Amino acid sequence: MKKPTLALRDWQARIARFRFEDRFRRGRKVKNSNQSRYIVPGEKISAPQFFNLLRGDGREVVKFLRATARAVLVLKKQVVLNFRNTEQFHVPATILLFAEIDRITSLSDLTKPITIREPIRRRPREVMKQIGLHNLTGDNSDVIPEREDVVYWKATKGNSQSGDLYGPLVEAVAAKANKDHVNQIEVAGLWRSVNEAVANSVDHAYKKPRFDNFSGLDETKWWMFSQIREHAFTIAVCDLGCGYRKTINERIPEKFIAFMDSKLMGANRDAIAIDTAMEYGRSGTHEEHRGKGSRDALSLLLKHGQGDLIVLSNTGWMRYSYENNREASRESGSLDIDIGGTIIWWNLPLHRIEHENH
Amino acid sequence: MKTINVANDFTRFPSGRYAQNGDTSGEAFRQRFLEPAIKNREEITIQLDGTIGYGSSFLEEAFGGLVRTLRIPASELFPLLHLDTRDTALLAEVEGYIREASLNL
Repeated sequence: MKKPTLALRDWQARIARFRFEDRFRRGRKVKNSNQSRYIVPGEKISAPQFFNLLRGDGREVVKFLRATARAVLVLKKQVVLNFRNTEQFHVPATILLFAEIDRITSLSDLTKPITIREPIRRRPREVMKQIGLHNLTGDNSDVIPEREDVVYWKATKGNSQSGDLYGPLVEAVAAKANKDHVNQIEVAGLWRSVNEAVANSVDHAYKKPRFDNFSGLDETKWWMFSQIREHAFTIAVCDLGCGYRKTINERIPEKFIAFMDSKLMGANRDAIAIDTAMEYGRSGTHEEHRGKGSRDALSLLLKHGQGDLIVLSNTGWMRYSYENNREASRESGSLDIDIGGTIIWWNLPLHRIEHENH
Repeated sequence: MKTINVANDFTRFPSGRYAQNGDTSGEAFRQRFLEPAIKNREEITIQLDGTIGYGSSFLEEAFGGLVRTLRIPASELFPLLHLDTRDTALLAEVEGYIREASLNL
């Protein structure tokens, strides 16, 4: 190899020095522009990667929601909810997120209590836009939902049992599901079940305050989601009330629930309260003619012949699975943390119509 | 004889029990259509088909509530109240609420 001359080494050194200084200058420029960038005021709270109450992430979801509520409602601070790493939204956790954000923004006196940083991934970003989370916080989102498994997420809410509030939505999603699938959703059965879940929320859920003394918003008592995916129809109703256990105790004595507890060998007591309500109805009125509604929740599964009903209330959950027009299994479980409300979620399998020209 | 079609004359989305919780409730229906007719001992036909469906709270409050409010036993109510529906289960359910409420008079 040819030995470099002194002049060549000097020239190479000058180039290296120039490149180093140039890098340094550029670095400073970037740093300067960062300093002048608008930074949203407030505490930054990171959202969980997975919004799923039932698969071990429930604790993270509830802790995230509680941190948000505490910062905004107790410490009176604006917050930035960072969803950058969020990848998946599961129905019960998403409806709880939607309801809690609505509750917090409704109760807060701050100008813009919550700002959302959207997920990096497109699907969760589309879901957030589709359900209208940005409308609650007053943020903008450029994403246009277009994925097949996102565009049929529909959300609504209300403060009364008036069927006009949610009837058109229930009818529209059922019609869409029935248009494309062989096994039809029985609309009257769907109405009966959803209707009674809403009635339960309005009539019973806010009779007593929940763990943080929240006792309901005047303008919203329930939140509803529906979703059609390729092989399933889902509808969920959520309230942020005191849970089944507090209201059912007025009708069914604590002793009975304790007896059920011993019988079910230490099963979660909120889960036992849900199961008791399914058997006996949920009514705190002592009136014989009332409290039939909880059983109506199961009638949709009977009419559809198959599917799951999952009820989550405070720290417990029950899952009722139907196959071939009869109950196939009944499971209970614990969430290990109080979700601060009740979620009733139906998941009905659908079979797509196979077109002849396929 | 008066004929009331729930879907056309009241709502396609009947829901809930009490009028204070919604204007499509069983109580609102009872007060608007059933009580005036039955109080005057007029025969009335209720056409139940055409709505999206019914919840048990709506039906119980409308028909069972009619028995409780007017203190009219099932034996006197059935000749005045005619239920028109193709859904036999729905018919049996409404009649059941009327009988049950009548037993508790």
